[in-house]
Amino acid sequence: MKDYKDILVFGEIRGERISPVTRQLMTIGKTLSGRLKQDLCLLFLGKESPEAAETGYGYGADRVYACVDPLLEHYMTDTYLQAMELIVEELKPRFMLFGQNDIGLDLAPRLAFRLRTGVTLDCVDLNADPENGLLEMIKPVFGGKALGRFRCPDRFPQIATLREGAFDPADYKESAKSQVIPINLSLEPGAIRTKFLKKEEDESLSLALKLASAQVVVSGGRGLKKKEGVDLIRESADLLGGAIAGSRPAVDNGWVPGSLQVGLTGRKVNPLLYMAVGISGALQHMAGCQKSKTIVAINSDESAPIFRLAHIGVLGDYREVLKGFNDELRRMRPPDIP
Amino acid sequence: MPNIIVCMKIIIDPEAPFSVFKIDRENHRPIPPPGVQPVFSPFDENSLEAALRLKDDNPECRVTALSMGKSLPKAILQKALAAGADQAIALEDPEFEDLDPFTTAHVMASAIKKIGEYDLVFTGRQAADWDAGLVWAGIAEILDIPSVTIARRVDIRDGKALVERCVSDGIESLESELPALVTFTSEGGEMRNISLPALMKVKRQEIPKWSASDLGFEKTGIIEMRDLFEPDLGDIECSMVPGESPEEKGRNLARRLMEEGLLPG
Repeated sequence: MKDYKDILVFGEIRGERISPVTRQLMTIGKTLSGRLKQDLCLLFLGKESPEAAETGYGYGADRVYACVDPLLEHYMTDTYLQAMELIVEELKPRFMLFGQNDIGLDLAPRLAFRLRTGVTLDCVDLNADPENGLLEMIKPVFGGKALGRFRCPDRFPQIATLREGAFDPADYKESAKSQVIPINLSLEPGAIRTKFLKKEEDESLSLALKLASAQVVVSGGRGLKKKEGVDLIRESADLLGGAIAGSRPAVDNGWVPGSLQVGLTGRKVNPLLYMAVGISGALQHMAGCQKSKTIVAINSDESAPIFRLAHIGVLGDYREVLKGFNDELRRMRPPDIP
Repeated sequence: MPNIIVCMKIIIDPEAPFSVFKIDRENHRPIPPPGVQPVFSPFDENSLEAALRLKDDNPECRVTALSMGKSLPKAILQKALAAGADQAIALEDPEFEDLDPFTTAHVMASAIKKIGEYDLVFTGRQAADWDAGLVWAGIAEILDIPSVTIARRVDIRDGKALVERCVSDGIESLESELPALVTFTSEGGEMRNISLPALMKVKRQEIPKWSASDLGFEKTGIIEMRDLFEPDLGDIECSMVPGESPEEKGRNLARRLMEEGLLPG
């Protein structure tokens, strides 16, 4: 097993830059590489080598790899799986880290089963034991009601996906290195059993993008009771220059689009201000927003758990509370253009 | 005749209040809360609904609900039948308690092979107890079939599956060879209502039981759980905003956020 060494981060690009979750992986990757005294490597897959790849050195990589093939244009399980299997054979990484997102939750488990090794998804903390060189993986279970600590005792590579926001993104430091190391593979098109047809960007895409970077998020839950409630939270969000979101019941009821769902199986946000309107505070939901700097709860149920999880609470019918809130915001900060 | 196998896990109701959730730290497992009825894992219900919608459009589809555990309450399995599944199979054995996802995948895959003919295998994106999200991948790898995750809809056209996958910024459309495995997210749809007559009708329907020895069974030990513990939820003291009426509280909230510099810009 001594063959397997170094830490390999599966890199992603978003908007010409290394994505936030990849930079978060570099933070924990650096810590693990320090503990094991092994190298931290960053890997990109795609139809061409991304221009931002070399900035991986600035985020702490000892080596940056790019694996380029026209078949890797869109993420497809069979294609990426085949590529990763070959890359693991070549690089023999000890640990492999992915973001817990559309790709990570799909690729990491299949790769692990293919390689007959262990994997843990959606980890919130990772540790390495220098004595035995094993990865310790901590993940929320039972919707966040408990945490499990897992270990893969004797198989390699050891694979984990990391929950977005679990670590701060790595800072960029100028680096003398810039050489991106190409990995050449010959992928077998015959082994690809799935075809990418198209991607329709959700009409809510612009809202979703706004949510990802918003400093203020106004989020609605089951307590909105009807779709019209969304108009009120949208009004608050607009007045605050923020974004709207929803809990899973709000999505399941069709009040807000699925791409705006915050929670364990949705987005993770950490704005300066998170306003939870009619949200009971189920841990599944809080998993997506508990890193917010200030959480405000508006709820008519005095016993809702949210009042034990929020910093500021308002007890009352949200329609009246938000009416007063929005009126006062307008009074305090008149719009620029009357 | 497309055969769809839906993998449905029976779990402690995830909607049960936090206050009744207790763990047995020594044995790394939850203590089933008294009085809380087990349920199908919600994402598995979404995948059954997706299968039934496919059957609505293609009545020749045959839907099999497949569940595995130490003891599987018949009344819950019957819900899958009453909702419209053609048959249910119970993989029931004392050995099937607290299995890791790797072992579970092997048992499920053996059962699917034993069923024999299948075109689609559906599962939830993850079970709402351990939230592992791994078993589907093991089943697909062992059966050596393609997979599509976090789907909301599947259609069959020209002998292929058309799958809509819910990604963070939109919907991907994919075409997959059959047989294929698909995992569903809540956008697969809430499981349809079950009528009392439908429930009565399935009361006498036989639910075959397969045990560990019927399936070949070996624990893998690829992953071990070292600890199971309660999260530190911090010590937040929620400060309540005063006011005579909800509307006044709303105004006070706006003023307070402004005064405390909590409003950006």
